[in-house]
Amino acid sequence: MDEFNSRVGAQRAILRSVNARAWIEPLFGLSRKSIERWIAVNSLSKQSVIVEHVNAAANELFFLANHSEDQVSDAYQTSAEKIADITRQIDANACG
Amino acid sequence: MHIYAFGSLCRGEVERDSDADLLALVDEFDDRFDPSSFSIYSYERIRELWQEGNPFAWHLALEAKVVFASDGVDFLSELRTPSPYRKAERDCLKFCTLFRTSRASLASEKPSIVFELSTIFLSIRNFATCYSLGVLRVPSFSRNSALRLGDDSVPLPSRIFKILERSRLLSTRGIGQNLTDSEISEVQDYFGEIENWMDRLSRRVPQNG
Repeated sequence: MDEFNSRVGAQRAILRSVNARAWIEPLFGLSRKSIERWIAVNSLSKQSVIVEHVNAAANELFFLANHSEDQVSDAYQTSAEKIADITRQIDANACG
Repeated sequence: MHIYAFGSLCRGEVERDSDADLLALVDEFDDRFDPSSFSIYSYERIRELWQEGNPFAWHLALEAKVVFASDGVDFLSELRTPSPYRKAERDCLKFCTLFRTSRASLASEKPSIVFELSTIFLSIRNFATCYSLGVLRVPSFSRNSALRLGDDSVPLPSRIFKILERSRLLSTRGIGQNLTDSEISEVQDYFGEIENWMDRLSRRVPQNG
């Protein structure tokens, strides 16, 4: 799979882990504004572990979540390992 | 440092949910620019995109307007016309794959529905942009590019297109009403149409063209 679609897959994996829990409203994406909406609707603390993990993932994938005009390009590199690590931490947190 | 505006504002396509697309060109990391507000590129990377004939280079070349230039020079204009776009086949295939993957994900257990529909909207939009640039040679970079291909426009009712667009806005900007179960079901009824449209147009994309 090419780099672009791999990065969409990384975002999908994060959202799948987060949305495995029952929320009032699920997380729709990893843009700052959609994360803020998710925090507000679900009355989450910004200091909670899950929010910290989501923000860490968003920082890795920020370009994908926020911009659409330049998404045809493969301009950014993402650490697949880092994303996989964050996904594991969210999963572990969900079970713990 | 150079700052440009591009996107819907430069096309005069102003809607209530329009945002301002801004590009910052910098020599090195500059924490004054918030990545959620700016597309941030180095001069070197922009030159590479021009060399590649990348669709984003074409987008900027045709639409970007300089907002600020620290040296008083319009850097992008100085780059002149980007190289011809020769990756339409590869890019159209890439966005077909993106569509199919999201469609499959929606059929799996506990999908992130809004995210997947948002990704489907992105795949349709980017597929149409690459097709318009690589085949029609009349590029459309609009959010509605798939509706601006004349006879080749995506055959979706306006209502369905708007549900997909709403998903995109929910996923990227966190605005809008969540989708209802009936809207989700309605959109899914059109996945076959979208796939047929992509297949039909893909056959017209020249190899390496």
